[in-house]
Amino acid sequence: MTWADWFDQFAFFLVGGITLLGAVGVVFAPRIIHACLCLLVALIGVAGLYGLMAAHLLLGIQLLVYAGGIAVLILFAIMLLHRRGEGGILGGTRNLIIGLPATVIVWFVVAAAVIFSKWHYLPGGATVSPPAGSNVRIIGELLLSRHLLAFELVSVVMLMALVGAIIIAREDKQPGRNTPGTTGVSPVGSRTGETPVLPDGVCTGGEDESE
Amino acid sequence: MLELAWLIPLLSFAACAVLLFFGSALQRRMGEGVGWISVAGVVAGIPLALGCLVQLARGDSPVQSSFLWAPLGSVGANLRFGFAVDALAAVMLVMVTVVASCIIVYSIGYMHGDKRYSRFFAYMSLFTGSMLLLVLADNFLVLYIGWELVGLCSYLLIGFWFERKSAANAAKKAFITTRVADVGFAVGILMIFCYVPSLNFAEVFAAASAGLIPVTIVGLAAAFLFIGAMGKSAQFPLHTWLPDAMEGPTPVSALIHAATMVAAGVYMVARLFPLFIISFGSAVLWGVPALLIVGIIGLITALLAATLGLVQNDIKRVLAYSTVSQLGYMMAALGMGIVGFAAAVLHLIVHAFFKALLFMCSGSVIHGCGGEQNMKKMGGLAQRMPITYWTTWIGALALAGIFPLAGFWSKDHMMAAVWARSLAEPVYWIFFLGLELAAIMTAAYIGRMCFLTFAGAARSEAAGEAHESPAVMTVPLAILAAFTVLLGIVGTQFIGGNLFSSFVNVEMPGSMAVAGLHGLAHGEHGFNWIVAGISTLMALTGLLTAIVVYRWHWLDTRLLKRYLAPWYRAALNRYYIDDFYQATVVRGTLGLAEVTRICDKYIIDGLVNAIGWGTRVVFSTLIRLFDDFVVDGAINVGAWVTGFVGRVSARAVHHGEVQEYVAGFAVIAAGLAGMVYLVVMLGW
Amino acid sequence: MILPPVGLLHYLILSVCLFSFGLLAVITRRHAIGILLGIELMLNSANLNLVAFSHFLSPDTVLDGQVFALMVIALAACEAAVGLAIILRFYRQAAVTDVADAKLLKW
Repeated sequence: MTWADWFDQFAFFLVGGITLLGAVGVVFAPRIIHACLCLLVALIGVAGLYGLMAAHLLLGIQLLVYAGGIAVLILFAIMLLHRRGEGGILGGTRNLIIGLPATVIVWFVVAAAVIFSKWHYLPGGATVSPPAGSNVRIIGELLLSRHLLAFELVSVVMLMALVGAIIIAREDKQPGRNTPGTTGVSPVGSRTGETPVLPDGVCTGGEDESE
Repeated sequence: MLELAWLIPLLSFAACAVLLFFGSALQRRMGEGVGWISVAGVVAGIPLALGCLVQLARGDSPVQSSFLWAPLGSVGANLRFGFAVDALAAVMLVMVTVVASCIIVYSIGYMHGDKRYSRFFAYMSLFTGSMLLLVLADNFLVLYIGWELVGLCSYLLIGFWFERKSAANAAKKAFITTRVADVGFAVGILMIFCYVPSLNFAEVFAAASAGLIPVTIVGLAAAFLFIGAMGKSAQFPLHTWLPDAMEGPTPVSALIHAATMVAAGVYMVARLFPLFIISFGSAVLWGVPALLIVGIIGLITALLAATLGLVQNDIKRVLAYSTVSQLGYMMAALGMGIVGFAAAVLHLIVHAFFKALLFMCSGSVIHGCGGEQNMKKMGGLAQRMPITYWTTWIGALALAGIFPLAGFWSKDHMMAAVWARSLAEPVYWIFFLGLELAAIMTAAYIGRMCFLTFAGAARSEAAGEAHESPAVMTVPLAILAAFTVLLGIVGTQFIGGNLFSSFVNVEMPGSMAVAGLHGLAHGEHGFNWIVAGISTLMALTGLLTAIVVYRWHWLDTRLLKRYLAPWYRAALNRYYIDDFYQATVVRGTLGLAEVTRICDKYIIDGLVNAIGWGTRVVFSTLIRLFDDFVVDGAINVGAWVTGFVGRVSARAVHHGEVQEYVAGFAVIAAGLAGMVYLVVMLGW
Repeated sequence: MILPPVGLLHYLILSVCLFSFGLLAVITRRHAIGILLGIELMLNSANLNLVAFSHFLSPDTVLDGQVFALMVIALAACEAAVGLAIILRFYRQAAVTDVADAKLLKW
């Protein structure tokens, strides 16, 4: 084994290990905010793995979109849901008795499939060493030629998701409908003792206390 | 200038686009000034057109330019879009732009207060632009495009007041009649295209004269093309739409009758004249070549329409039949061959000016009388509308062919051509006699119109309170009147040996020696005193008749009506041609539609319904039985089993914990995937 | 010590592990956002697969796998946005973030 091989081994196990550690954290971190930070670690680890496989464009996008975008978005969401005085955000795990065996079964089935399959290596592939130069240009050309339809469809889907997310998360205009009291679950106001005030100034908690 | 000729129609189209898209907005901003946008588009073309004319007159060679429009690979032909400016096109350009400008300026006053004001001017611009496009065409396809656009515009404008049923019907009639004729035009084009892989005029003419197209085919194609011209130029028997087209606003009538619509037919025959000449040796029908068909149809039309013009009471209808008759003159002159070519074109130009003038005068009269069109209810307008009165007389005398107005020179020119042809072949004396007869009637009916309208005492309240039209209407009248007086100069043989004939002539490809046309060179014959004398005599006779009957009242019209009762009744009913069409074509079409409707409703629908009914009856029974016993039975059994299982076990599993569901799904999916893997991949 | 050179299998096994942890997070996290985190992990493992196949099985100039991974990332972003919107909405309606409480339709 040459030094280059040793470097490969070392790099893979180091980055892969960090990724897996992050994944473990996602599952077992006691507080959800820590789990989210662990996800960030795992995502950065995956980005490193992309780098090892010479997927430089993906590396960048993984960092930008996932680590920079999605993870931060989730962090924001957690902070939005977190209310002061609520006594800590919901964290921890449950269902481990069901979850662990189920996961192990899945792991074994897929891992066995991976190991026992005969992979068909195309000529020119299977090189561990990164190719010379950048392959961003090829990806760009592929996106605008062979995969143009998928590209356009994805853009449409993104637009739909954008609109959908706005519609779903928007505040209700009519105060009488869909107030917390109608859902059958104890509303925020009565649990925390404070009255949530919607941005448009409509007081929704008062109705519940009059019930 | 010649290279910029394409700008002339483009300016009109641009004005149309502006008015069409921003018309109402602009009208809100600038009121009825929007009409001037349309005027600007056309007037801007005048200097360009004049420039073209001057350049050609100075001896520059005609310009033709085109670009590839649609390559037809497998046919080996390319459709090109191009313009050509030669003498014929140049004089037409000047005529159309000048006359149309006057008419559009005039309509600013005439259409005052109309609720679709800006729309009207958009259509007028489109109309003018289409005609200019048609004039500039260098191939059949562009000609056809302009042709159809002109037809469309006539439809839109004749039916401009479509709230009136008669206007809507007239628009439909005009559109459908010309459309029927256009089929002939299209057939002619296609016949030529079958033989020559090009639609360019020059190439087609060259191919035809070189014998690449069989002469019989050329003749047949020319005859079909002439059918198109018959529709557009309202030649017998397709003339019926033109008088009905009077339902449109008067400026539209003027535009249709003078500059655009009807001129298109004559222009087309003139433009394609080499085809008619080349095919002269080959008979199309009953031994008659295509060129002679043109002449015969023209003669019939000229006579027929002139007699009809004598009995009309609607001032605009008199002029409408007059137009039909004059177009017949032009066609007849074209039918004389090369000798009549320049004369026909000159008459086309001159006629455009004085007919536009007459129509606008009639519009002024109608405007002044508050919408009254019946001449029987006018009279005595000479004092109240002096400008209109005098300009009308100028137009009328020009139409009658009185020296020295422009109409005299062009008409004399045509008659001289017929005379020359008759000297060569005696059969053609029929033409000479017929056209002179029509000349008498022309003078008579136009004199009748003038006297009924302006002379004597007012015969209705509206006529008594008539007033002169505003300047925006009378100034164009004056301009056109000036043209009517002076334009004859270009057609005189005394100044420079007939400038017009030496300028506009047929460009025959190669050296053509056509049987039957020997010895008749281009219109280089000198002034024919005999012909001029006869023509003037005829015109004066006609005018005298009109004076005797309608001015001096020496002869009572009732007496005339009684003596000529059979003819009078027939003429009032337009010789029953419209009724004939109504009975055959319209009824026939409607009847066919009715038969089709009945077939559709009772036979086809009946069959479908019967099948549907039978299917419904049979299957409803079968399906009901199946439903009752098989489906219901199975479902009941299934429901019972499900209920039993649910009661016993499912309640325990379906607890609503989403995440436990996920776990279950994952295990089941893994199991399934594992099985699939074992079966497919490892071949167990 | 002779280790097998780093190849496709390494990445696939790592990817399986990531997927399993993601699944475990989806099943066991109490917080609704935890489920979202798990889903992101699973998507990443799938992406890792795609890139690994593209890198090891096909020539370096054939990069359709990476393009596909790009699409997945784009869709994952959509999924995160909509998922978070749903969670926010759920929280506003029910004032809780535990998916176990989403039982309104359970009879």
